[in-house]
Amino acid sequence: MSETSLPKSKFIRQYYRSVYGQILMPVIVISLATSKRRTIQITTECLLDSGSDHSIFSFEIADELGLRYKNALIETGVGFGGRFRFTSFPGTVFLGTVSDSSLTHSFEMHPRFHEPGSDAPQVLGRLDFFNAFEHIEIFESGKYVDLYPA
Amino acid sequence: MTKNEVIELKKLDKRVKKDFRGKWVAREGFELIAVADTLKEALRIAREKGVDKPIVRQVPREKHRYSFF
Repeated sequence: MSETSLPKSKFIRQYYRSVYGQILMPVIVISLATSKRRTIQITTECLLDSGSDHSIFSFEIADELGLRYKNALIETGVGFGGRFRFTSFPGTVFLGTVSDSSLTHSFEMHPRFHEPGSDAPQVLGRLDFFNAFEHIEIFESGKYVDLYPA
Repeated sequence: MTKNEVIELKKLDKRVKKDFRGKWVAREGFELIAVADTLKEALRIAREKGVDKPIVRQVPREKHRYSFF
């Protein structure tokens, strides 16, 4: 039988919440800003979703960060509910920040945004959230997630 | 977060889901700071109350037990 020991370095812990259905799920508190206007930061809560390629936030957050729908690229993707439209801002670099009482980790993100008016869930995906961490440990029985910054 | 804070946050989540469907809510820790129809309004109310960096999200409009994303 082989054993794998994971490197024990500093991590950021986030606890499960029931923000969508009645079942507790891994929810991450994350602050989002653009690289051009770092002083404007919106802190929100998203589902950690390894099934999502990209992170997707509510369009109202993009609006608060100074981005306008008329400048967005409209794309389509496929999810559990079928095909859906979302927006992106290819020329904009976003900064995501996750922290707890002892550690803060900031990183570049390239999120998408739901269409205006949608109340679809906000998710954190693999290509612009998971890859900002050396590894992520999910403790289903303990109902928390440990994020190890890259 | 302490164990007590986790418990208080769960109570807040339950209350928010029940009472504020479709609304934007802003919290500081496990205290609800603002409830509004738009994110802009929720942020304005939070700032008026002296909370510069509230944690915001929109409460789902519909009630359901399970989620599949």
